[in-house]
Amino acid sequence: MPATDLSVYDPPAEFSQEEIDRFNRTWSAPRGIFGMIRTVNNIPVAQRYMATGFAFFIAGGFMALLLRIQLGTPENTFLDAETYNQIFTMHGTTMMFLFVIPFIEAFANYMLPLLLGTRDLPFPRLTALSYWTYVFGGLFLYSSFLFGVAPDGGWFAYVPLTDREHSPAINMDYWDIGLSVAEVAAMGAAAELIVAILRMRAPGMSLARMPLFVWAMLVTAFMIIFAFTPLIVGTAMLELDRKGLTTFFMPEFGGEPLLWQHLFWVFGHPEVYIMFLPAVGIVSHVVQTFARRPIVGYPLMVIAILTTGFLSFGLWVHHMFAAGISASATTFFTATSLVIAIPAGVQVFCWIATLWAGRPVWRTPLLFVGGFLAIFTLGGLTGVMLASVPFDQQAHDSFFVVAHFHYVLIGGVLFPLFAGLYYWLPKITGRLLSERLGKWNFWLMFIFFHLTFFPMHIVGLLGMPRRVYTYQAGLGWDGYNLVSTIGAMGFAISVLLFLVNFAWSLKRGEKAGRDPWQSDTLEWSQDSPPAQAQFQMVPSVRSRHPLWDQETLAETDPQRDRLLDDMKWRPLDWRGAVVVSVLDGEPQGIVHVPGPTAAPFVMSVGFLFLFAGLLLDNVTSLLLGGVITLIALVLWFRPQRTESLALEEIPTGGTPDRLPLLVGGVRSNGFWGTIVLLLVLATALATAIASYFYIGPGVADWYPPRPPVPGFDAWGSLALTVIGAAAAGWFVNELRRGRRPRSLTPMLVVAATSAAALWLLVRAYGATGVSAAGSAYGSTVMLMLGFQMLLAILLVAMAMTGVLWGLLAPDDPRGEGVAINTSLVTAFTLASAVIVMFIVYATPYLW
Amino acid sequence: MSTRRVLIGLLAAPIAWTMHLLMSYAIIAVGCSFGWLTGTRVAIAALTVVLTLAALSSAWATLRDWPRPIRLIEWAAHTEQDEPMHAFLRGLGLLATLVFVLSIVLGGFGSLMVPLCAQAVHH
Repeated sequence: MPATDLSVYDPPAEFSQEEIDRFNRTWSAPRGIFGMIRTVNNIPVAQRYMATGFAFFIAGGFMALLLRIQLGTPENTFLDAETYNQIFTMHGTTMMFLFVIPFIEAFANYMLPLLLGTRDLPFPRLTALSYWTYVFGGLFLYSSFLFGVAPDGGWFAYVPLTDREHSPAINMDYWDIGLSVAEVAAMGAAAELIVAILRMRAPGMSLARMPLFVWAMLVTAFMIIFAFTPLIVGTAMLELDRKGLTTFFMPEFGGEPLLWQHLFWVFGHPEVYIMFLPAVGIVSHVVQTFARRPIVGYPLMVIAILTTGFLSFGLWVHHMFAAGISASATTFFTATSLVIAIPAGVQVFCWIATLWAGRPVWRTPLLFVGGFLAIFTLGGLTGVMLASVPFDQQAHDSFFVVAHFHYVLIGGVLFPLFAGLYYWLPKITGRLLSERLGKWNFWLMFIFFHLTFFPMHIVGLLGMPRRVYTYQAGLGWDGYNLVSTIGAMGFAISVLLFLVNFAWSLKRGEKAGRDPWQSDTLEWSQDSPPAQAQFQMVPSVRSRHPLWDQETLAETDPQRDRLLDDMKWRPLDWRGAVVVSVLDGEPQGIVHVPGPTAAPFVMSVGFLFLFAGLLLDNVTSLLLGGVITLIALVLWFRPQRTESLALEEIPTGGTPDRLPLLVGGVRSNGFWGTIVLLLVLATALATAIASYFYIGPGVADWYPPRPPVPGFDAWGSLALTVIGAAAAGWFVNELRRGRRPRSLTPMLVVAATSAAALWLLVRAYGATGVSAAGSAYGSTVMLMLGFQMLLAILLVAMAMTGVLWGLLAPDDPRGEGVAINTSLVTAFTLASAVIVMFIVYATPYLW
Repeated sequence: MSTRRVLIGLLAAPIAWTMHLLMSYAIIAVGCSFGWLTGTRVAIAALTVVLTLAALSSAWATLRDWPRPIRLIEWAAHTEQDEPMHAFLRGLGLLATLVFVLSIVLGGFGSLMVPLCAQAVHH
């Protein structure tokens, strides 16, 4: 295939060097320590994110070695039982929450703008916030080791083991609070990825032309939103129980320990697909490149990714087959657990067909893909076995399960990650890794992986339970455990070899050039490493494989080319990016992308004080954290000089030859970010309601003598919510009719009514006569009313921002954007209020 | 075919499956707590039939409105056609329907073949 002409990226002849320097300066990341704190560019933030994630991987791996040393011989005393519990809990927690998800998201933060042909992600400050929150949360969690109180209840934290009575020390509070932090960071990153993929692609990149890694990350990001939210709600419920404020999981108060398992696994199962789907994307790219041909069955691959994402939410009870749930209910989950093998099988066959039909070149990335195919297939087979209830009864809680999930996670996630690293690190560093060391890395990892984990299948079927710190000699388990331990040491050496290879490549690796693999996607059109100012000229995509099929990346349509004039090595003094339509990738406008600020870092520091205050029940720390967070919010949302420059240079109305500047409204990134926020809130509400109904039918003994009756407070808060929604709705309706009303009055109404509704909600809760600490029923009522209170607080904050805009800059379109986004939240709050009121006051009459 | 109808064709089957899973679980929980064995079986069977038909009818509507006879290889290669984006999404919808209908049927009728309210594990 003739090389694609990349001269499109050269600055136009009429541009002076001074203009080019201004453009590059606008996009450069600030230097020094203070600069590092203020940086929001995706490249340096993602690099730090990946490095931190890999460091946690090493820490988690080190813990695995400690576990294997302890289990290598029977009745070993290397670790005592409590230490073993802490280490296996932190091993699992680290790998699942502090390594895989953050590393994959960091990787996506780096690669997605390159793959999409855009200059940055839509909310760079959110990326930076996710990173700093993740770092502080992870360090906060690990600080528990210093005090000898590391979490020790397993990464799944089952109640009643982890409730206040059976885990009275703060170990599990560390887990609860530290984890909430990691979860929030992951969700922030997910929101960013959704809006980036749907809205910020190169012109012409329709959904049908998106690279498969992009499809995978899109589905993964949605899954994070829907899966992590129930876990956040669940961990909050557990922490409230542990503080003695509620009784969700306490049977003596009508609570349900099994509810925790549902909440955990409705996150926990999609979580493994959240890890697997990006790996699918990586494998597809590597296979395509090294088979020298497009992937066979692209639409089949896309539908496999989509169906996997959906179906993964229907499997969670297969982790609870031994919990006593009815056979008919578990059958649904068995059925879905079997059906989900179909899309996985389709993917495997597409990859094999691609390799078969192509001319594969077995470089290191493809070797790791080969390893993935072998290991993941074996793990999938044992998964189908475990999906069957009768078999699962025998294997549940044995080492067979440990073997299964390490096969699917290491085979299905880690091997593709290494494939991706060998494939894309040359783009990131500008240097190729050593092929010789890479092959040694692969074979050692492959062989020692099997040596470590294959014997676990056998020892599990021989009856060895999991989560035990030692075992008796003479049960027939000794030899298998010793082999596993030796294998683990070898596996660690293979990971070390990768680090050696990486360090070597930085100094001695052959220069990669733009496209060392002759690949097809847009990232290979950029320099290696890419400049901070990526895609100085916005590329035009007319194929699924632009670098294979297109003679040039320049726009060939003259009308569309004129529309993109404002993006050709421009704007000079503020960061701008193109926004396109969701389906067809037609350019719709230009957005201002925020530049460097310390607000995300400051907010993360505020969060740290909040976590510490929650952990230690320290009011001073809570107050300090709250104040710092508020300061950060002000820094974040205050008007920026560069936004004003953007408004001066590019009209918001657009012209036939110019794209509009998108500040507010349906096409703005802020609107789409608000939609994602509403998805989170809706999922949280659904979780609270599901918890209420799950607990509800069995608690007749703990109800108040009569069901609660809505009084003035309840009706008053509902009425105020209606008024606030009506005011915001009126504003949006006027805009739709082409009028330009001032946003000050409706925002004042929303702020005032929300504040008053909050006060009435607190009184309404008191008037129900139920006690959250007195019954699980009371806890769920408090949960739902508490959710409404949080919505009211959110609305006050959003509306007050609108009020400030209305007072200080009434004609500024940014204020209009804030008002539109606030109206979305008022509509949701109203719907939620009606539902919650019905449930709290009407449903008790059902039982 | 409008974009809205194309998206409905894409999402109808997964939504039907989601409703089937959640409603079946709730029906079994309520039915078993009140001892309505026969009624629960009938409800599950009816739900399965209704949602399967709903998913299939959405696929049928998609197939009926396809601009010209499908050629699988052409669609899979995604050559430029009239409304190529819609054709891509329609094809995805058809494939998704197959997977989700299978899951609805397996789950629904499978649950009727085991004791309705007995625990999966007898302790």
